[in-house]
Amino acid sequence: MAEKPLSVAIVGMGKMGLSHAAMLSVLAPGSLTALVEAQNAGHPTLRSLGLRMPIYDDAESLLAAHAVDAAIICTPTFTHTGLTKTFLERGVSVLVEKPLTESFAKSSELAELAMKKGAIAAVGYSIDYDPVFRKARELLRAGVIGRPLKYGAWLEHAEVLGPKRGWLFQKAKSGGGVVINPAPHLLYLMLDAFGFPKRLCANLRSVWTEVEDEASVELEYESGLKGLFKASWSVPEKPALELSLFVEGEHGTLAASDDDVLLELNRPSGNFSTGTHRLHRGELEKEADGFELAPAAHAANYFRQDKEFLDCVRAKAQPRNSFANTLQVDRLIDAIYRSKDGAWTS
Amino acid sequence: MDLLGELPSEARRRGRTAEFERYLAWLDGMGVNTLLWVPEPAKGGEPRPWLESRPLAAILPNLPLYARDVMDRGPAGAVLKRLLALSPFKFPSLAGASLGWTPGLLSRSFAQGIMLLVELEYQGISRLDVREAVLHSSAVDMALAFGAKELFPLFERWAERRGLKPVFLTYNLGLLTSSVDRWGFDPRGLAFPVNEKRYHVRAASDGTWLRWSGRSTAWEVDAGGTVPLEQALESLREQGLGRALVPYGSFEPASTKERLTAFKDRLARDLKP
Repeated sequence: MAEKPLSVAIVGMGKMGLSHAAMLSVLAPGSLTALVEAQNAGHPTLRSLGLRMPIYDDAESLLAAHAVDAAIICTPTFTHTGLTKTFLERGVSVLVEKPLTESFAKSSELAELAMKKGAIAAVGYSIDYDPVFRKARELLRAGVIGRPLKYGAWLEHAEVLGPKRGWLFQKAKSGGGVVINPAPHLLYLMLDAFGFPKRLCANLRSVWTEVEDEASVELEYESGLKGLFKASWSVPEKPALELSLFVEGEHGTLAASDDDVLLELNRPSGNFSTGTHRLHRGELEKEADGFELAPAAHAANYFRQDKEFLDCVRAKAQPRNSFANTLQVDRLIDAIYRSKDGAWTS
Repeated sequence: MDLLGELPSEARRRGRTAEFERYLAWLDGMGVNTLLWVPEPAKGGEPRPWLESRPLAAILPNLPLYARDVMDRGPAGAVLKRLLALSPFKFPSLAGASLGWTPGLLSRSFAQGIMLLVELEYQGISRLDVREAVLHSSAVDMALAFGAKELFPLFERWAERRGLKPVFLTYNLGLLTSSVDRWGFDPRGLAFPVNEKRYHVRAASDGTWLRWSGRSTAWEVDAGGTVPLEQALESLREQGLGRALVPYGSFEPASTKERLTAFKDRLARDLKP
């Protein structure tokens, strides 16, 4: 007997909501049952795109009319807690765009609620589905460069090049600036590759907005590993968000960035000979299917993420980017903000 | 083979004028004349000599820039910014072009909203030798995902009125093929990734593009520099594709060793002992 198709709603039809709607239209045609968009001036545009499903002004109206299996929440951060609770309380699975909430305390509360309700609950860490960074972590875990000794993780973007207004730049609504907004992707990678640091020391700087526009954080680990995390959304030369990771190990170095993983080994390791190697995204991303909406932003990662989320909802299994698994990112962000005066924090 | 060069964004060229001029000379050596360009509307400061010296293929509209402006100013503010950046002498032509879209714009039509952006951005560059209008891949691919078929004939008719060759750039050729077959639409110009590594070649068999080989431009031909350009172009010739983009990134790429050394230096600079 054919499996009953999932019924999915998207809440918040800004840029991210539209992207998820496009992914679902290709990935699971017919699964997108309803939309929620608080600004009804945007409803005609959504209709003209060919989105024929009902559009509601709020989540309660949606839930009163539909029994959805899952909701993808793409609204501003300060609304996540209330909306996520609304869906989880009714046993609806959720994928919430990162960051989960504005604070570690609120994220912990949601993680507990998700566990209590047994709902599939994921955070939008699409970086986890990026073939370049996935390969880099796989190589680090396999010990290709030996024990890591020090690393640098950088985020650069030309997003804030002058005074800015809006919720994203108000700490009470967004939780902070570059650290909690674009950078959780990079923090997720660092935690996955190196674990939680023993102590850290952060320097945060506001240039254009009331939140931090730049952050420089030094980290120390139980193993003796030392790390640096540096993020700025005020780099004019970087029109597209750029993440990079460089690790020096006992037997070589590894770098991962937008397009490729680079290796330099001082002795053979695994399938790699001594010397330099380059593994390009083109070789790691061998997919005949999938959907790419914005290649510069590697939007195919969202497609892979949505696919795994739907598979997990069907299988009633938590994805890797579950609330519980990603809570460490919120904890690390919290530690960075607590150490913002430049003192070391354990 | 007909080749197309790339005029990278101002941000990507910053501090690299000498390298960019060597790239142009390299293109000249290969007989490449036309440059592909994504205009950055209302930014100003665009150095004209490179633009005025060659025929151009313009990718319209610049959707990433529009999305950033929408975050700052809202959709109406982003459109107004583009309008105010134009000379008032352009307004009659703009009004004439937009008149037919007015009902669609008033009802907030996606396709006509995209066309308004296309026209606004084109007005800012119309005095240059623009010969092709390439519809931005995010507009094409979003329209394909949602089945917003009206965008395709609207864009072709607009380009024809402007005397431009219309090109649809897609990163999802398989989806485009099935969609246009269903809609009975025959695109006059297409651009999509084609390479041996199948990088960005999504849901499209090698035979898919043969039906359009005479009107298609191959993108991502060297799969991010992993296929030597000569080999990539030869493979296109064998498949009957007559046109390709030579990406800026394929010129003088830094070696793996040089790039790792740069990372190492950066870490030494940023992480003090």
